[in-house]
Formats: sequence, structure tokens, C-alpha cells
Amino acid sequence: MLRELWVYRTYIYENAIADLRNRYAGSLLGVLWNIIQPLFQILIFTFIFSEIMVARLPGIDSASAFATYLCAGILPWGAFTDTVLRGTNALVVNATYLKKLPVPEHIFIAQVVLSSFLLLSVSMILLLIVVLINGGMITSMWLLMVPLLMLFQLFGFGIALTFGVINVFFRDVGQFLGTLIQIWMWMTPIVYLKEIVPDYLQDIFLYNPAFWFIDSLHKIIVFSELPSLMHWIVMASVTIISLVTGSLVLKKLRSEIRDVL
Amino acid sequence: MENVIEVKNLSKRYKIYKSPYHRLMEWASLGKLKRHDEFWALKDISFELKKGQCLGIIGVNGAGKSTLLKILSGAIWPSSGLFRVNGKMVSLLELGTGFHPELSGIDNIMNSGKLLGFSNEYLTGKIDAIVEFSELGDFIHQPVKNYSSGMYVRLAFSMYANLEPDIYVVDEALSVGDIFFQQKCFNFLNTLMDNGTSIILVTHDMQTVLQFCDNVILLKDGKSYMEGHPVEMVNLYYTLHNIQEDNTDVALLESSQEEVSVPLEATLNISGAAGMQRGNGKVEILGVALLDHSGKMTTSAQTGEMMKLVIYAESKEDVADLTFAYQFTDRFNTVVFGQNSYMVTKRKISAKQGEVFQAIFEIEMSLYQGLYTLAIGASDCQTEVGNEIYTWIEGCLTLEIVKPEWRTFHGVAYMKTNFQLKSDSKVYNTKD
Repeated sequence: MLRELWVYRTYIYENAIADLRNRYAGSLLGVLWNIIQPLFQILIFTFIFSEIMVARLPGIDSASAFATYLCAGILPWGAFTDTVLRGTNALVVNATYLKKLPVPEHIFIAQVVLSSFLLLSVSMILLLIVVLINGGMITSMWLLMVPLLMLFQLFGFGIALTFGVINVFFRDVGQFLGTLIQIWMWMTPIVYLKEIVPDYLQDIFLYNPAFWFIDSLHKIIVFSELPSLMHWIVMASVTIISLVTGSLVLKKLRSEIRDVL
Repeated sequence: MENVIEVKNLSKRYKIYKSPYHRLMEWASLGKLKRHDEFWALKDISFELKKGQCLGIIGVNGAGKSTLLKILSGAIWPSSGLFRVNGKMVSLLELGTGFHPELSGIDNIMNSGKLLGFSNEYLTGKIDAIVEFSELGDFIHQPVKNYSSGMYVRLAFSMYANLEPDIYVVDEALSVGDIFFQQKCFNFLNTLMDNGTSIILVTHDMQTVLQFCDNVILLKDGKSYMEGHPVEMVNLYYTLHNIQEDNTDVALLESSQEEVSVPLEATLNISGAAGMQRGNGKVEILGVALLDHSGKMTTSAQTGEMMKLVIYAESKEDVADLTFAYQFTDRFNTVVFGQNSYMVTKRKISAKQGEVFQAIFEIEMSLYQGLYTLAIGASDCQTEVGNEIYTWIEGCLTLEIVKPEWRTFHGVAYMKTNFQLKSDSKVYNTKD
């Protein structure tokens, strides 16, 4: 599996870039839209939550803090959703190649993961700039975001691989996942603070893998705290579990995938 | 000799589910329930391909030829059996499908090359040759979606011809396309054979099989019915399927079924014609090309060389009385030679509205060295008097008859000559 990804690395990379380029093909500003869209999202959130619906975070005396909190969760979640949903469909979308060429299935999913990671990197750099302009603090801690976001995307890779393969046999999976991931988002403290949830529900978060990623992001970006060792252990474990599950599912069903496509 | 492909007891079974629920039930029962029908596309196939040999795979549609190829290329997995492919294998069918419409020709070469598993360095080294071979010019930087279908095939074929895999798969994709393309393909096959490349040839064209193959496998219903010498296998194929081998009939049938496609270069010869054009347009000339003996388009020839003049035309209305004509003119504007199909065959052609023709003249170029221009046309058969001209185009092609190594004559026409000389002591005699 890993060896195949390595062999096709330039193909994956170049097609991830091509994804970004083609997404806005034919438009005047082209590639620039990849920057404009997240930028406006960040600016709109900042404007609304610091000027109109002023929301403050407990313990932080900054008008833009809630907007930062929101962006810190919603941007990575958006990329995660993109990875999972597009990745799940990647095999079906690339059926023409798979039916005729001896290319490994998962390179098409890897391509999706990489392109949404690149897009996410752009968004996060924009967020960093906006936070700086708003007088926020940037510490060396932000560097931890790199491995953190990578882990989050790899977690998504495993999920996309698992369901992407099953989706070949049951096309309902892709549809189902779209709904499921929305429910998942609202079960994770992204647009709200985890403290507002009643005490007896607090423990449920601990069983939600996405919570650990989002909470770590909040800690670093908003509260300038280091994620605990527990955070890292959980994130690494769920990522490994998801990737291993994905590989096993692929290995088990590989011989039949191209017969069905 | 070294084997490049070894196949042992290869089988491919497809599971046919009547509904996705049946698959779900099987999965839920962890494979204890069986709710599918089986279809064996291939059963127990064994063969080997030695380095430098050409293996033919024949059989009617549905015999399992493409399933076998797909397994060998790694695109699908066999259900049981073993196969080993030593080295890289490339087929034309694969190449075209690897193209991405939004990418430029050059990007597509790199991209689909990588999909086939060639390294970046290897492709970079080949790219100039591929681009040159394709003759696409500046179009190579345009997105492939803007290509005509002919340009698309040319791009795919240039890749195919310039990559150097260990095994070539020559499939049906090569037998489509116009006469120029096919001739190019056969030339290419010949070079491959000379270079000692291993080839798998999959075709319905038994002539090609007989000409190129060292060994042939005849597939029937997914089973390898027999393997052996090309002549025996081709005969067996015909007896098995009761196909009459009548080349002329087959050729006629094919040309009447398939659409006549006009190569780009041939149309350019018309649009770029330098001379006068006239006619009432009832029959429109779409293209013209001059081919040498190997089928390559050319503008020069040796005296006495056999050439083909191909005229493409479309009738715009029903025409009952039609002949195609050509005429060579020298640099002094003297008509050197002209003829039409009515003169050659003594038959009038009738055409329906919208019918597209490909008229082929085989001409022995018995001309003196120098430059000639060609006029072509379509008219009624009254060539002597009161002739109705549908289209007449002058100066659409030039032909240079090159200076021969040994000058055999001078003047306008080559007249067949024998020579005798008698003297008191000797007799000279020449025969041509």
C-alpha cells in the first residue's frame, strides 16, 4: 500500500494540484478563488461575531475571539468533510481509469486528501494573518498545527478508504455519509463551546474521535495551550485504526472492485 | 528463450447479482449464503510468450480476449490461476483512456505515462520524440478537449510508438481509423518485429494474424480452444465460425459499413489549393492525398514508382452519373496526363445525397524528373463533349519526381523501350 503511494507520488501530487486548478477552470480569477473563498469566510465570521452578534469567550477579553474559535474548528472540519465525501466517491469517479489501467485504487483517494490538505493549509495561513491583524497572539505553538492537521486528514483518509471501497458495491454509502457527517459536526463542539453542554453529556465527547482533533485546535489557536498527551495519544490511535481498517477493507475487496465499477 | 509472459490455469469468474440486496445478504452472512450466479469469462487458460515473438489471440466477440488482456495488464484480478509478466506492457486502448480533457497534450503524455508506471525521468527523455512524432505542432500545448478525434488518436499513437515497453499489446484499436492510420500502424508493426519486441496481437483480421504471428491461441467461450501454428488456427477459426474467407467481399462490406473518415492533412490539401476552382458543387471534394507504396503521405517520388491518389468526396444531392478525375500538369502548364475513373473502369458511379466516397487511383508515376501540380475533380462521364463539372480543383498537390541516380530518359513521358543492335559480329538485346 505505502509502496504504491510512493511509486505514484508525482502523479498524486500533480493531480492534486490539477484538482485545485480545475475546480475553478474557466473562471476569470481561476486559482485565486482558492484563496478568496476561505478569506471571505473568515472575514464574514469575524465581522458578524465581533460587530453584529457579539459573542465572547469566557476568560478571553477580545471581541474577535469567538470568530477565531469558530474558524479554528470549521475550516479543518470543512477540509475533513471534503476529504471524506470526495474521497468516498473517488473510486467511482475514476472508474474509467480503474477499469483499464493497472493503477492502485487508493491513489485516487490520496489525491483528494492531498488537494483538500493543500486548500486547508491556505485557509489556515489566512486565519493566522487575520488573527495577527486583530491583535491576536501567535506563538511557536502554532507549528504544532502542521502535524495536527496532517493527522486529522489522515484520519479522514482512512474513513474515505473504508467507505470509498464499500461505496463501489453499494452506492448508497456516499449519500448516507453526507447526512451522517452533518450530524457528526453538530455532535462536535465546533460552532458552540463544549462547556454549554449539560454535564451528563460531557463524557460523550470523549468517545467522539473528532472532538479530540477539534479540541486540540481550539487549545492551540484560541487558548494558546498545549494539547495534552492524552489528546495526542487518542488522535494518533484513531488515525492508525482508521487507516488500518481502510487498508483491510481494500485488501479484502480489491479483487472485485474493478469487476463492479 | 526467455519467457516474457507466463500464464498458468488462469480463470476469471464474475459474480452476477440480480440485486444489490443479494450482495448485502451475502456480506451480512459473512459469505455463508450464496446469492449470486457465476459467469466464467475465462477458464483454465495457459500459455507463454517468448521474448521477441508475436502471439495472436483470436476468437469471436465475447470469447474472452479483452478479459485476458485486462488481467495481463493488471487492470482486473483473476479469480484463480497464476500469471507472470516480465517487464512493462502497453496497449493503445489503455493510452487513450488515460487522457484528461482539461490537460494539454504535453501534460497528458506525462500524466498517462505515469499512470502506466513509467518514471518521470523516462518520460522527460521521451517527450521530444513523442511531440515530434505526433506532428501536432502548437496544439500540443492546448487542452485535449479541443482536439479533433484524429488528433486525439495521433497523440495516443505517438505515445504508444515512442514508449518502449517490453511487450506491446496490439489490439482492435489499431484497426479503426482511416487508411493512412492503418498503414502507419502496419509499418510500425513491421519495425517492432524487426526490433525483436514481444507482441500480443488481438484482432479479427486474419490476414494480419497470418502475416505477423509466430503462435496463435484460439479462444472460444472463455476456454483456450487450441493453440498452434497461425495457418492451422486461422483455418480452425473459420471452420468453427463458418466464416467464408472471401477477401473482396469482406473489403466491400467493411467499406460500406464504416464511415469514410477524411484525414486532416487531406482536407488541408483542399483548403490550401493554390489553383482555380470551379464546378456546380453537386459533388464536393473533401480531401485529397498522395501516398507512396507504404501508405505514407508524400510529395515526391521516383520515376516509375507506384503511388496511390486518394480523393475524398461527398455528394450534395443524388447524382446518377459520376466519375472522379485527376490530371498532372508540369511547370510549363502542359497537361502531362489525365484520367478519370470512367476511363479506367468503364463504369458510371451513382451517388445518393450525403454519401461520402473515398476514391483510390493507383498510378505508376512514369514522369520525367521535375515538379508537377495535380488537379482533381468530380464530373459526369461525358468527358469529350458538353461535360457537367461538379467540382474541379487545380493545384491542390505538388509532386516532385526526384532526379534519378541513373538518367533513363528525357522528355515529358516515359515510353517503354526495348533496344536491339546488330552488327556483323555481335547481337545486343535488352529487355526491361
